[in-house]
Amino acid sequence: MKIKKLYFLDKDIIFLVITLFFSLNIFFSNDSKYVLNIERKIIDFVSYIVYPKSWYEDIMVIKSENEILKQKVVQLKLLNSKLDNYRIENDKLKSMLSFNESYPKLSLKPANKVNHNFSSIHTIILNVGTKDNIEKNQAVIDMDGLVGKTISIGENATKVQLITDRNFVVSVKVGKEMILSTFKPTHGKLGYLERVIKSVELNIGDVIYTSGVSKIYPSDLPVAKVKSIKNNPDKLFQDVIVEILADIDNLNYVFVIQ
Amino acid sequence: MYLLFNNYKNVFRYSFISIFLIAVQFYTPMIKTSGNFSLYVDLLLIYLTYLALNKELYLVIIFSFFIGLFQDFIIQSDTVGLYAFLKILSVYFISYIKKVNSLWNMTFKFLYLFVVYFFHYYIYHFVFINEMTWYLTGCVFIESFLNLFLFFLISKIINQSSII
Repeated sequence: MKIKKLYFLDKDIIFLVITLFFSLNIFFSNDSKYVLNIERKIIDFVSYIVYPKSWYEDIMVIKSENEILKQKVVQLKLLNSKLDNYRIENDKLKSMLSFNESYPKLSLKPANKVNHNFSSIHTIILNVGTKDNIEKNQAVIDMDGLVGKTISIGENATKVQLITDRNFVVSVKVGKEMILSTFKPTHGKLGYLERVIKSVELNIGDVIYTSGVSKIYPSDLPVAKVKSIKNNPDKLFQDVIVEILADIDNLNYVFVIQ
Repeated sequence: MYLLFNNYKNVFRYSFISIFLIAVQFYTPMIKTSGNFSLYVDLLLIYLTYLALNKELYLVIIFSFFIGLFQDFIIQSDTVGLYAFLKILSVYFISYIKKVNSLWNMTFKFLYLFVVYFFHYYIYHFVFINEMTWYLTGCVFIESFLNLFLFFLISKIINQSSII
């Protein structure tokens, strides 16, 4: 009854909102250069508008983060010294076995998350853009693992497709044998691995890394960890459920791999 | 039954006028300026202005959505939805004149209408042109004025509206 009453009170507004929604939906579903250009401008505008808010939030969290980081620095220094010894030992062994470097060193561009994109929960906006030499299809990581990839670049802002997006796919390597598989997200922080043959030895908690097959993602970026494994006798492959490593819900600082 | 028929009759009449205007729009001359910018008269916008000032708003909104969409398909298939969006917004703001009919004088009403037209054309050209210079803004200004002048002429000739 109440709804009916409201309908008659605001039918102009209701029809306005519905038609505007449909027209904008139709407009932004185009892939023409004009629409993409407008999308970029909107991203820039949104990042400009929400900048004070994110700046204020940054200041609020920076102190607590600083303390955590200090602790991490100490831990990492200790670890680093240990790893340094390993590296020297590894270099010696490599030179003995005449190994080459398997991957080049990565150049990381730090970026702040400005805000979640209003149109989708599976995208975020970063405060870097073409000015910072950011390009389309560059991998984005946080301290824990792969976060997503850049999909639309404005002058000062970049839209990132998150790893939790249903359309997101990344080639990974699993097990000690480094068998190629594909990671696909399902819901929340969960995902699954496709075509993992039964002979691959996997344990719960094993970390899955990018394979480097794709040009977008360099190899050996941590993606997810194994949460559960099922071996169904009726199926050819294992059912492997994984949990995304990146802290998607609390993203503040990320790195764009250039 | 008669009322229902009467409603259908109105729908057919407005649809027929729209199709006629779209056909006329094809043969309406454009004024080409330097910088690949063309000024043109949007007969459908003028028609929707008339409807927004004289008919029920929600019906005009729905009508302008379909007219805008149709115009998008014909004129610029790269940006389908743009004209629909602009026409709906313009119609909604134009209809505000009805609410303040007795408060505003004629000059102010036309000034308001001019501002709505200006934003309609400005946003439209902004989508296609990367950088809106002062020169192009001036062109949009002239284009809005041209359309407003045509609306003024037509409203004087028809003389049916009680608002403008």
